[in-house]
Amino acid sequence: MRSLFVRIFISFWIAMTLISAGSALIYATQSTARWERWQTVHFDAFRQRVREELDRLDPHEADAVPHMVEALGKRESVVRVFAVAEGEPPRSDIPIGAQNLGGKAIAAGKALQERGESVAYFAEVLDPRFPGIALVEELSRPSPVLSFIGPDTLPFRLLVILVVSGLVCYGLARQLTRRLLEIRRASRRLAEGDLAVRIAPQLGELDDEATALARDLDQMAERIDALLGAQQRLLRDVSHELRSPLARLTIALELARQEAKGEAGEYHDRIAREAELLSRLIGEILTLTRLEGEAKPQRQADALDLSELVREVAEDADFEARPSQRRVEVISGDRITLLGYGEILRRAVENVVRNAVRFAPVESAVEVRLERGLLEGRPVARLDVRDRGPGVPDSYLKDIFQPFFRVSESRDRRSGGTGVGLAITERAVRLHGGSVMARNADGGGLIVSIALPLGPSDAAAL
Amino acid sequence: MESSTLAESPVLLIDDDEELGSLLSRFLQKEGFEVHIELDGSSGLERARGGAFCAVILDVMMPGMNGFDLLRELRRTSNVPVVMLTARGQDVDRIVGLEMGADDYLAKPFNPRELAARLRAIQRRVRQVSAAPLAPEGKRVLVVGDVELNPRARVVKRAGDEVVLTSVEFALLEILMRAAGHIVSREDLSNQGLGRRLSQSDRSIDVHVSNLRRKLGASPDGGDRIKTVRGFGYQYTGA
Repeated sequence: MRSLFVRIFISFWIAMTLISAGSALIYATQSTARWERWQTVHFDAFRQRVREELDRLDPHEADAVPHMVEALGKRESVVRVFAVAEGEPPRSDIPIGAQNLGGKAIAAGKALQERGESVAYFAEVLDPRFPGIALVEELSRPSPVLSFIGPDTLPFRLLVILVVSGLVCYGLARQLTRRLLEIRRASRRLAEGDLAVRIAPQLGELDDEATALARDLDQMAERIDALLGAQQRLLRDVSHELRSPLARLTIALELARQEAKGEAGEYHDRIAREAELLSRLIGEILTLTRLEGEAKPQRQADALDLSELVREVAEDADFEARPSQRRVEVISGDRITLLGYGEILRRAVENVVRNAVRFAPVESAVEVRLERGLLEGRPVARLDVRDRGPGVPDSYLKDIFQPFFRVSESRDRRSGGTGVGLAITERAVRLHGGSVMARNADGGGLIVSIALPLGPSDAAAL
Repeated sequence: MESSTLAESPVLLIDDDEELGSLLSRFLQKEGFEVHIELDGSSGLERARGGAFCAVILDVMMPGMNGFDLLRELRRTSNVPVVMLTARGQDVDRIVGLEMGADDYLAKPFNPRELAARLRAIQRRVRQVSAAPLAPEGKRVLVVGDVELNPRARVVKRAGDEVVLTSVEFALLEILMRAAGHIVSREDLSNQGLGRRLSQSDRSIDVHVSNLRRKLGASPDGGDRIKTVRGFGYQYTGA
């Protein structure tokens, strides 16, 4: 999305610079000719004024003419004019070229002009009553050096165009992409599972395409939220409804056992086992839907000793695993306390450890590590549980935290899991603001890592 | 309720599932219990207050007055042992139940044999108390610091004021006070106090002990009366 900003900015800038530079170039090529025309127009006006003044003078007042011209010329900003008298000695305030041409025009009695490299002179005797006085006009052309660095020149204009259009385009591109960025930020949260997020209200009053996009995204989020909610409600309600008949079935089974007095014990045991599995499954689905449904459990988070909790879970699991020649070992256990929901966290850890035991080969140990660490620069408690089992194909490493996901149909069912355990772990850890991931270990086997954020006080404690 | 016949008195089942009730009462009868059934919370509460029952089996999930409300009301006037039937998948429920003074819990669907075992454990506890006068060691009033426990009268006093305890809390306190100054493992507390083996990840003992701590308050010197020995058990301090 950064590149979108850059692309909009650069393309606008180039377009605007080209357009402006083009028009500046056209203007610049015509400017010399236009300058001359403009000066000529001014000369015509000026001559007219001088003639009017001369009309008011008597022929014997010839001495006053240069002063009059000088006075009028001072008011001019665009042109320079001089009055040259016949037989005058060279004057320091009149360019020598102008004085010479003026003298020649008086002698010749007609209008003369002389064009030089940077200036041109026009000389003319304006009134026959004053034949000894010529009016000389100086027409200047900008020098090549001056035209290059002067304020009216092309490179300077180009620079101005570049800066101004740059600023405008930057603002424009920002304005366009800023709203996109806001939408992106919100949709990111949506993608991470925060379905309560609504984007359109954050975009302010302006009603444009970006707002429309945001509104569509909001509708999408609402719909997903509703669908997920309905799905969870259904799952929860079904599980709830299954519980009562199952409770009655369990009691009826024991009554049947009493009546049978040891007959068909094998089948009764089998029914009991299946009922127990069903009951566990229902319990786990209910736990899962409750974790999904709530942003926060009703109970307050307590300060709890994570190291103690992990040690207890590991000991219990070790006790359970011994009969099948498997072990659970706590390799390292930093003392870590944090704010959390004890029961939920216990379930989370228990499910991971039990899952590891389930896939651990006979005579092997499941390794449990609890350490302080950093995740994206924040202090976390990191719990690694490693088994020496077959691991999980890399493409499934994320999926194992989905409810009822099975890597291999037959093997997982035989292993006796309900298929919900790791999903509960994932939700429980997320409820604590943490994250859980799985990876295959170098020496074989699966490592499930739980990272739980530590508050500043948790991190400082001991 | 300390009469010697209490151990043989009937069990009260409060559950809105009528069919479950009749199946369960048939099962328990065969196991030697007499069962009375109430199908809703308010009549169940009345019955529990009125009759002499050896135990109350209480379903948490009931329409109208639910199990928690009922337990809270019941505990104002009665210390009759209560086994809560909590919903599976609602771990918090059982903690709440124990904190509110339930003696034990079972997650529903439960194995009725397990329920029968828990009821027997309760009966044994009650019988021990009623049989206490016969055992010379058992009738002695225990005094540790400002706390006085009379096993015969089933009364606990702190600085002369009576502290109302449930039967499980009473049993646990008695075990801890008899061993005052020594550590009692959670396993022993479960075996002797709850009358059953400590099962995996069972936190009942911890909840009962924390209830005890709350009810007894801090000791006069401000310290804990019952110390937690991390990863092992509990110790009643003093003596």
